[in-house]
Amino acid sequence: MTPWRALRSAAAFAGALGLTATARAEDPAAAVAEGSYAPILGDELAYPRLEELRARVAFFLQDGQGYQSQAEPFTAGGHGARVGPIGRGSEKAWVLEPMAYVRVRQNDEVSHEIFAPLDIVSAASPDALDVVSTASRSNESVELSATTTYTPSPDWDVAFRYGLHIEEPLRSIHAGPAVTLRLFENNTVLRLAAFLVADGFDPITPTGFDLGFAARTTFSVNLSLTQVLSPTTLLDATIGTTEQWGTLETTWNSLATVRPGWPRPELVRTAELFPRSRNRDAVSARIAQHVPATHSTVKGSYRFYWDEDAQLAHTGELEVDQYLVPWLYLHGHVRLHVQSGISFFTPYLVEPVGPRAPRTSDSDLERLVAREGGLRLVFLRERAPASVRDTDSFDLGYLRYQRDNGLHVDYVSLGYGRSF
Amino acid sequence: MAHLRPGRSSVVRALAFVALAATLAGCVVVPQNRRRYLADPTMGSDPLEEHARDKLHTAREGAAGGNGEPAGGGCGCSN
Repeated sequence: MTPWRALRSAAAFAGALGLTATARAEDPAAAVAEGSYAPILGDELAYPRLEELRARVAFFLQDGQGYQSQAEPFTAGGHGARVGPIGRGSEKAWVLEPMAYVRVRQNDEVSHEIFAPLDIVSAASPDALDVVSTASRSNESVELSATTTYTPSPDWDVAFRYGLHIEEPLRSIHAGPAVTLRLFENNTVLRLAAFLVADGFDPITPTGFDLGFAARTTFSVNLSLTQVLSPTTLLDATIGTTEQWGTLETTWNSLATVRPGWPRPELVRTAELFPRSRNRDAVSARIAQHVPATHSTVKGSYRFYWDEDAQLAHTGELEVDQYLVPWLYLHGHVRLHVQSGISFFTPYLVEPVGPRAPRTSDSDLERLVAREGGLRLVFLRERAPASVRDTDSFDLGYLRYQRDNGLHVDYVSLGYGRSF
Repeated sequence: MAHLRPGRSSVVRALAFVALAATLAGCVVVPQNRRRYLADPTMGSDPLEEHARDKLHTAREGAAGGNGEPAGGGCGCSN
């Protein structure tokens, strides 16, 4: 499937979702025919009721090089320059991601949110498996995730999130509860959430050998706070810990390895290997300030990450939203991410290599600095002139992501939202 | 290698976080009728846009995530 054809299909999917919902929402006769008394008793009694719908199509175009890739290796110059005997292989890829979100109210106390993204990836692991098949040249994944929230009181609610993810060659399920407390007239919102992800997959070695079945488990606990600081200021903060067990490496990833020999050394590939468990933690805070005098909002955020494999990261982001007219605003953001390399990162190995010694040459785990900047234009039809007014919104955005270790991504997204 | 195991230090951090929340909560109570600016669309974020951007970062940064979701990224693939 070409990128253009896939983009058109996704746009049609997003449009169809929006049009279907509009038709249902604006046809009271159909509601009566289905047994609903909403047209007589009022909308607040019409259950189940669609409250919100969103659809988005995002397209990522990536170019660059990484040591773990075997595609077009040994390039010279620029980011492909050799380190020792080894160069970086191509990480060229594109990803098309259509997704949809709906919120449905079952009754006064129960609501459901359903989220469904679909990923179409041109190259999940460029050329690693394609030595024996073309399986990774085009890869699709689909996820279905739902959250059911029970709100017995305005002061607290309990939610349960559950879903599944299907991707070649991975099957994954996730589930977890969350409790939210609203204190001091809703000025303080505290949320404690636990989340479990269980992955089962077919581990395939870099040479295409099928090892059978492997599994990994991820468990995380997050505590978050939303605090009103003034009539125009909002603070969000989160602290979380994540523990992972099982097969944590990407089994088809490999490292270039020099095997000493005569008359010259031989170059072979060795499979990536991770420890069997890993703990990872992050703390973040974001403050948002609305400025009524200039019709703008400024947001600043900071995040600190650390894990037991000596990887640390600092991430800062600045966002500005500026209304151009009451129904149109421009969102701009810049982001800086600085991370240290994981303790067992190496661009290449020299034999002998310990059979259980952790190792990776994945450029995502290398020391790196990533810069990002983007713009998004948002059209709010509910504030538009009466002739075109409705309860929906559209947005179009572009961003550029660039890493200093030789990778960049251009990202375009088109979004649609409607409340009922 | 720095071993920062969960345990006492994580519990202390979580307690500090709750203490900070309680302190901030005591600072001010903004009544419901003075929160119209807080409800402005620019004060929040679009969940789907957030998901797409998180996807961009978690697939390319080993130290991504952790913002209310499991921490960690760098899957080694290119999506």
